Amino acid sequence: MRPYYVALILGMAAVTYATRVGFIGVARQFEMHPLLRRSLEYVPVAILAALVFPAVLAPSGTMESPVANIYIWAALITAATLFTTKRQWVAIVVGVLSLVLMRHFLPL
Amino acid sequence: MVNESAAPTAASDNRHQLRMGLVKTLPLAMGTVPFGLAYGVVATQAGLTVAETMLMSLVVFAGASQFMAVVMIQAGAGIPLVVASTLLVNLRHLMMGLSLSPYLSEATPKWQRFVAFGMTDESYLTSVTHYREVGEGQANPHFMLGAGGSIYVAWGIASLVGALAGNAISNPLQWGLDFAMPATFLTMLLPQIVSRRLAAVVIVAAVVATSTYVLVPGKWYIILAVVAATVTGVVLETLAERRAA
Repeated sequence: MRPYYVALILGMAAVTYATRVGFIGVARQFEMHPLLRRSLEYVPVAILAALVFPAVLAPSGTMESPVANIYIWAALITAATLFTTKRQWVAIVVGVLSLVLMRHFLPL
Repeated sequence: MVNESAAPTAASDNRHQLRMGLVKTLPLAMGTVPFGLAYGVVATQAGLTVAETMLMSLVVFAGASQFMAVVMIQAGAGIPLVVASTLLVNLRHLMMGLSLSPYLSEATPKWQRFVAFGMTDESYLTSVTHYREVGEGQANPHFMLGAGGSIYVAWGIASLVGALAGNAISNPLQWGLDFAMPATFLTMLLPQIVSRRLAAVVIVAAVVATSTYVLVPGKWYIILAVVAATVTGVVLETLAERRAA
């Protein structure tokens, strides 16, 4: 391993770990303001939405025609499977398989 | 959890929590595989050795910033620029850590520092979802250790295979496994939309995230979506309370 790249990688590791550990102990050390506590309730759904919608609506980084975008169809199939079977694993597998099949068999 | 014997020992409960964290994160770990493969391929193509490629996966352990770093290295960027860009891409972890902190307030600082290393988008989301279900008093850091460990192992192995196989792997992001990640997140998101307020929060997050994603490079779309969504949620909550009062 070349020292230059080791230094670069360790620098990246240091700043990345700093972001991960930075606020994780806040609640142990401080009493959180009630408003902050309430705001934090919405963080997980917001991050989930932020990871789902762009990935499905703009899979290649730009908005595409919704009809030709197989990710939208696969997401709808995943959601429909979740509502009918109530099983997360089944919905994920059916969703991924539907995307694979559409990619191979649809002339898009 | 009640499926253990009537009075589980602390050690067996910890093992159970660790295993549950691993299992619940498994679909996301599988979803990271194509990205890990792709990273291994592009990192070695950019001129990193297999050992350097692996060092980055094992000590940085952050997909988006690793891809970015490899592209920047290839373009001839220096260490300060790569490190500063890594910091910016990973700023979102601060919000995730803050959101997890109430659930880890009983954990020792040593445990907090330990599980923090394994916090990715994926392990954060499975952990925080689980912790919300069981409540603050029952949140066990072993769950997060299992969740982070699951992603860490998958990311490490996939990076190694990608680095060794190089071009023999053709376009892993086109296999369909790349959809495992958004599909899993979708199945985690939908059951949480239990009120009009949460639906509004999700719509705001979706609109802000998607438009920012298309227009602004980096991970700002996550940060902006969180800010917009939490403001929306708190404002709607406050309005509802005023109306009730």
